[in-house]
Amino acid sequence: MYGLIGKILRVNLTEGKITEEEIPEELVRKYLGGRGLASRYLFNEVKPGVDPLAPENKLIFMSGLLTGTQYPSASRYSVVAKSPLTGLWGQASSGGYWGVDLKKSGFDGIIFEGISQTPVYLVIDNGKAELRDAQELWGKNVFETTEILKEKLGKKFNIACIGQAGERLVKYASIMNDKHRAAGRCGFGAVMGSKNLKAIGVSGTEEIKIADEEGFKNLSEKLFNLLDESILRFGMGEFGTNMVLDMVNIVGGFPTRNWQTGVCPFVDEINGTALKDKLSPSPKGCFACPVKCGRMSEIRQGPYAGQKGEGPEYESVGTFGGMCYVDNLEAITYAHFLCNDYGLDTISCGSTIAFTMECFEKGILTKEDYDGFEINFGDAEKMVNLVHKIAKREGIGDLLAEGTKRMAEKLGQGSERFAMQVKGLELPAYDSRAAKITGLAFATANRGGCHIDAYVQGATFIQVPYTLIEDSQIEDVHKENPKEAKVVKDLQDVFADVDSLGICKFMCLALRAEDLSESIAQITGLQFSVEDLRKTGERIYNLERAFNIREGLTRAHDTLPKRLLEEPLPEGIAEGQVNNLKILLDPYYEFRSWDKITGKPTPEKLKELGLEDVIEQIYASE
Amino acid sequence: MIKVKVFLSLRKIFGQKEISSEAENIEELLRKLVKQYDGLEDALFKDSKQNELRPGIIILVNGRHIKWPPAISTPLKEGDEVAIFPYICGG
Repeated sequence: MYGLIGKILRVNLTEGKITEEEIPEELVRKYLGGRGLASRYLFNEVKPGVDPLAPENKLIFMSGLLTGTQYPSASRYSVVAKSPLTGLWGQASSGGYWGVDLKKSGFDGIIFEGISQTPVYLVIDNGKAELRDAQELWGKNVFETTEILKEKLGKKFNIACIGQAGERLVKYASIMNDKHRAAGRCGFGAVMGSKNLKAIGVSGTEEIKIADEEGFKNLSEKLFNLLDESILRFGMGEFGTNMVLDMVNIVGGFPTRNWQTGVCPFVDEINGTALKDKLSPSPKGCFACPVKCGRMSEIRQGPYAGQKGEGPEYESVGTFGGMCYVDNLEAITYAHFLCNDYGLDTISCGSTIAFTMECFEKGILTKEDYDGFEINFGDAEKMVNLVHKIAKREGIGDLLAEGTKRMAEKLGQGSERFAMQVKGLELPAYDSRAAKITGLAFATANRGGCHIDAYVQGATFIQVPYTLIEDSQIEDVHKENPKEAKVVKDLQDVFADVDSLGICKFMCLALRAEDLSESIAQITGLQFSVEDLRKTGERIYNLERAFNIREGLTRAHDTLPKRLLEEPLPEGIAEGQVNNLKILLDPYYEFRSWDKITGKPTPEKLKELGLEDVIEQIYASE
Repeated sequence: MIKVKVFLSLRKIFGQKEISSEAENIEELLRKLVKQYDGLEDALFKDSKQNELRPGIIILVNGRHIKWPPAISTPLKEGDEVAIFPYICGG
């Protein structure tokens, strides 16, 4: 097979049985690889109503169609499963080198099913796979687990693993690879923990076959050079992802004090410039990346001095800094490092702590709930303390480990208004009241409150036009313009392609749709046009939606926290703004050909996308 | 007076986070600043004719983006706040 290796591993953890399967060519044509291909397996194999932490849930790792090639940024793999945080379709993607090494090991992906009786880890060495006892690793965190396995297996092995948070089934536990890289969102560390699967070590020398080697090489080199000379490299290379913070704050959309306002007074203490000055980071890139937005940092002063790690990224600064109102960059960085070591999603973790701070502020939680302490906005020391408690499910940490949606359901007293989540997934650090269609993207994202499902803030907060879709121009970010619902739909579709190809979404601020479709044609040898690309993305997006519909999702779930819908931003350029979703949802459903009452993709749309088998599954009960 | 805030690598050129200036519009402001600060012309403009801004330059007036590519004729008035970014992406 061209592009993909053409094989997946199926690992039944209950029986300890490993089998190999060929990937049908038809699936590659329709779903590419990575997210799309894994989602097809999930839809076929996980029946509705399954408990995400039960043996019946499947945990699917899948490298992208381009992963491991010289195409710029082709480093990524996806994890797809039913999410314990949302109870819906979930996906998380990660870069680094692990996805590349998975493919080199001789398999595009792995499907884990069942639950092992005792802790195990999987080793794949050049096409040979075996499960090994992981009891000595259980209880250890990510950095130590990675070091022990590299020592045991050899340095050529690359490790993906969980820390204590995944073992203790924290609902937003992440899976970590390359020590510091996270498949962070949706709580797949907990799914891995529920299966008693501690780690996956991969190594190999399998080569990827390319149908048009010359054409693919030329295109990849051309794009690499384009990106190497682009503003992406100069900006991201010097300041990393946190460079966006000042901009988000100036437009009044930097969530501060758990989204009570969109303007933070101490941004100069925590922005990209501060990070560069205080932590002196050195750039660290993923496989085949010309931009290198990652950075190794060291905390140089204060109680956490000497701690080293990768990051922090903008989202960690946004949640632990803005949302928790902490102006201490060293504490923010340490909380971020701890998340990586315990294996926790920094967005959900920071957001949950910010929610907890507001619960204390409003008297919904009291000292009796927290060992005689209280935590106020801005309390850096207790914020760090809560990260430990969450990962270990100690005391109040056991409550926080469930995420904001479940916390609000338990605490009541109106706390659901300011539990900043959509479908159970905590929202990222962009206040959609300051850029309206961002709210539509949050409300409709298949995996819940997500900023990179549509990555629409490129068009809204930054206002850089995408060349990936026909039109991404936003006339006025403060107005809900029904026509602009199409921007969200088009971006969601094309980024489903991007996740399936295994490339980085940041590159897509500079790439054209043709750059993707041509690469697919060249690597697979198939005829593949821009129109095919758009249809493929739409197919994947509708399949994921159908999974959610089958789980009981309706239009009522496509919404935002009441704070965003009803509480106007109190200051800044976006003062007085709220999200009025009603104006955008109907046109969005029309652009999608989804039923405006039920939220289901219409049978006609599913047929058009070649998803005939899905029709009977989501219309069966009617 | 117009308040001008600069970010990221532009802060090296300005040596500070913000300055005050006077100008009728963005074009006049930028031309004035270029004369005042060494290295700014190269950071902002494609060439010495100063007709075209470098790709990636983002300018906001009072927290609102001026349209892409930046409309440098955008008028300014007393008390306006101009933010200039050399490039932005991420998050």
